[in-house]
Amino acid sequence: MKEKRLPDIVYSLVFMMIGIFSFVIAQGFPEDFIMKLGPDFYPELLSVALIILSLTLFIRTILGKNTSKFIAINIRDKRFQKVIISLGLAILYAMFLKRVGFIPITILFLFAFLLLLNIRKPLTLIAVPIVASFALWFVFQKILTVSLPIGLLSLLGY
Amino acid sequence: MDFALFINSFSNIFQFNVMLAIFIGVAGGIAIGALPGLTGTMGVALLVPFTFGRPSAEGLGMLIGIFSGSMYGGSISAILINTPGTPSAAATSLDGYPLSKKGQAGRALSMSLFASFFGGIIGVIIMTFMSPIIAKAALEFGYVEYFALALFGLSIIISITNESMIKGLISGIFGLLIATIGMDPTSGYPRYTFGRMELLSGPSFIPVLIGLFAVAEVFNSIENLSTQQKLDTKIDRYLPSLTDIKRSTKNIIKSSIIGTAIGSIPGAGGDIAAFVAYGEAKRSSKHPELFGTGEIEAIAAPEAANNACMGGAMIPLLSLGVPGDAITAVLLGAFIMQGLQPGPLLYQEHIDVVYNVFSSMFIANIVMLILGIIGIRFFVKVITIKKEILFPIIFCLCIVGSFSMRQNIFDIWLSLIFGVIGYLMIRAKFPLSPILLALILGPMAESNLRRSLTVSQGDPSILLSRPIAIGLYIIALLSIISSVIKQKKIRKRLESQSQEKL
Repeated sequence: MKEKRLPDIVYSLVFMMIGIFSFVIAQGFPEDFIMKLGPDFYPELLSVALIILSLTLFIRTILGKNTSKFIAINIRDKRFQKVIISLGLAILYAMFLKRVGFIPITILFLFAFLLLLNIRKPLTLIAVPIVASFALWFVFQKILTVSLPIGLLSLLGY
Repeated sequence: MDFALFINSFSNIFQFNVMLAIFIGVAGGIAIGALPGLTGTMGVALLVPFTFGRPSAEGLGMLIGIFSGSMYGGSISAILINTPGTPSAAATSLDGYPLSKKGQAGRALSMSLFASFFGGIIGVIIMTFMSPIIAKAALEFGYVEYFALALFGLSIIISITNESMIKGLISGIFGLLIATIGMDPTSGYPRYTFGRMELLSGPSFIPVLIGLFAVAEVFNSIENLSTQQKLDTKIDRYLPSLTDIKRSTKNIIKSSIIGTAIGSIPGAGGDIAAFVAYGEAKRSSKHPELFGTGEIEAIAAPEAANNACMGGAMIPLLSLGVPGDAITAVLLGAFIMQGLQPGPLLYQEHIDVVYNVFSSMFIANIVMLILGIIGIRFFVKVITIKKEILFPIIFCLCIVGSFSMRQNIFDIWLSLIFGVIGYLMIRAKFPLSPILLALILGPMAESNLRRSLTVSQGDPSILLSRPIAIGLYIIALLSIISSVIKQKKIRKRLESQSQEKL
C-alpha cells in the first residue's frame, strides 16, 4: 500500500476550520457578568484546543512525521460509488418516509439496496424486502407502539 | 451489600417479560457477536430503540443480555473462521482456529462457553461487592473531583483506543464540542443550534450513536464486502470434558480476576483484558511453546477474561457514572433514557435498580450458558448469512431506530450526518469511541468545571485543591505518556520489520 499524506492534510484543515468556526460563533454568545464564566467560556476553550491539535497534525504530516497509512478516497472506485449510492438511497428514504409511508418506502428501499449489492435472485429480491418491512413494522408499530408514518395507505382509509 | 435486597431483586427479574427480554438480548448478542463486522457496540446501538418505553428492568435486562452474549459470540467466528467477531475475541482465535483445523471445533467452542460463563459470573460477584464500596466513597466527591473524573475517563480512552495519539485527542475534543450543542446547562442560552428547535436539548444520543456505530459501519462494510466464508466444520461436542476443565480451572479463575480488574479501569476493555490473560496463561504455563498451536488453556484464559471484564466495567459505570468503553457508554446512555443517572446517588435513591442490574447480569450469564449449549448449531449458521442481504436490513433498522425515539424525521437526518462523519473518520483512522465518551462525559466536565471556577471566582488553582482530583490527573497523564512511549516502540518495531523485509 502506498503511503498517502494528502488525506491527513485535508482532515487536519477541516478540523481546524471547525475549531475556528465554533470559536467565532462562540464570540456571539452573551457574557455573564455575575458568574464571570458565560456560555462562551467552555466552547472557546475547546475550539482553541481543537485548532492547536489540528495544527499539530498538519505540521507533523507536512514534515513527514505522521506515519499513518490509509487508502485515499477514489471517486472512480466502484466500491466507493456503492457507498455514495447507498447514502443517496438513505436520503431519498428519509425524504419520502412521511409522504409515502413506512411499508411501501421500506420495500422499495430494500429492493434497491439489494440490487445495489449485486443480489440478482428474483425470489430474494422480492421476498426479503416484503418480509423484512412487515417484520420491522410489526415489531415497532405493534410491540413497541411507535407510530410509523402511514403515508399513501391513508388514502385507502387506514 | 444488602443480601435481603439482593435476593429480593431476583424476584423482580424472574418475571416472564424480564426473562424474555434477557433471553432475546443474549440470543441477539451471541448472533451479533458471531458475525464479523457487527460489534457489540453496534448491536447495543441497534437494539437500544427496542427498549424505549419498556420498564427499566426489561430494557436494562435486554441490554445487559446483548452485552454478555456478544462477548461469547465473538469467539464462535474466531474459532471457526479465524476472524474474531468482536475485538475482544482476537486472542481466542490464536489457539481456537488451530484447534478447529484439527477437527476439534466442538472442544474449543464448549471450552469458550464454559470459560465465558465462569468469567462472567466471577466478574458479577466482584462487581456486586465492590461497586457499593466505591459508590460510598464517591459520595464525598465535589465539583472538582467530578471534573477530574470526567477528564480521567476521557484521557484513558484516548490513550488506549488508537494508533495515533493526536487523532484520538482530536476525536475527543470534537466530541466535547458536539456535546456543547444545545441549551447551556448553566445559563440556558442556546449554543450552536442555528435556530433549530430540535437541537435545543442537544443532538439526541440515540441517533448520534446509531450514526457513528451502525450507519458508519454499514458504509464501511459495503466498501469492503468480501466473499463469503465457507464452513464445513462439524461440532462434535457441546460440553467441555472433565480433563479439559481440570486443566483450565486455575487459568479461568486467575483470568477472571485479571479481567475484572482491567475492566474496572475506565478505557480498558475486553480486548486488552483478553490479551493480558492470554499472556499470563502463557507465561505461567509448563509448556508455553505449545501456545498458538491449539492449547485449550489458551482459549479458556482470554474468554474468561473478556466476560469477567464486563462486571469490572460496570463498577465505575454504576458507582461513578463514568463509562469504561464505548459499549458501557451506550449502557450509560440507556440508563439516562430510563431517567436513571448512574453515580453514587443511584445507590442512595434507586438501590433496587442497582440490585436488578446485578441479578440481571447473573441471570444473563446463566442464559448464555444454556443458549450456548443448545443453540450452538444455530449460531454457527449465523456466520454464513449473506452480508449483501443483512446490510440493507440493518440500514433500515438504523433509520427506524433513529426515528422511533421522538418519532421525528430530523433524528433520521442526524443519524445519517453522523454516519457520514463516522465513515469519513474510520477511513482516516480517527477513533470513534472518544466521541461517544465525550458526548456522555462532556456535560459532566463542563458543568463541574464552571461550578468549580465560579466558587473560586475564576481562580483555576481550585482544580488542584483536592487530593483525589490530583491523583486522577496524575493517572490520566501517566496513561497518556505511557501510551505515547508504547506507540514509539511499536513504530520502531514496524520500521525494523520493514527494513528486514528489504
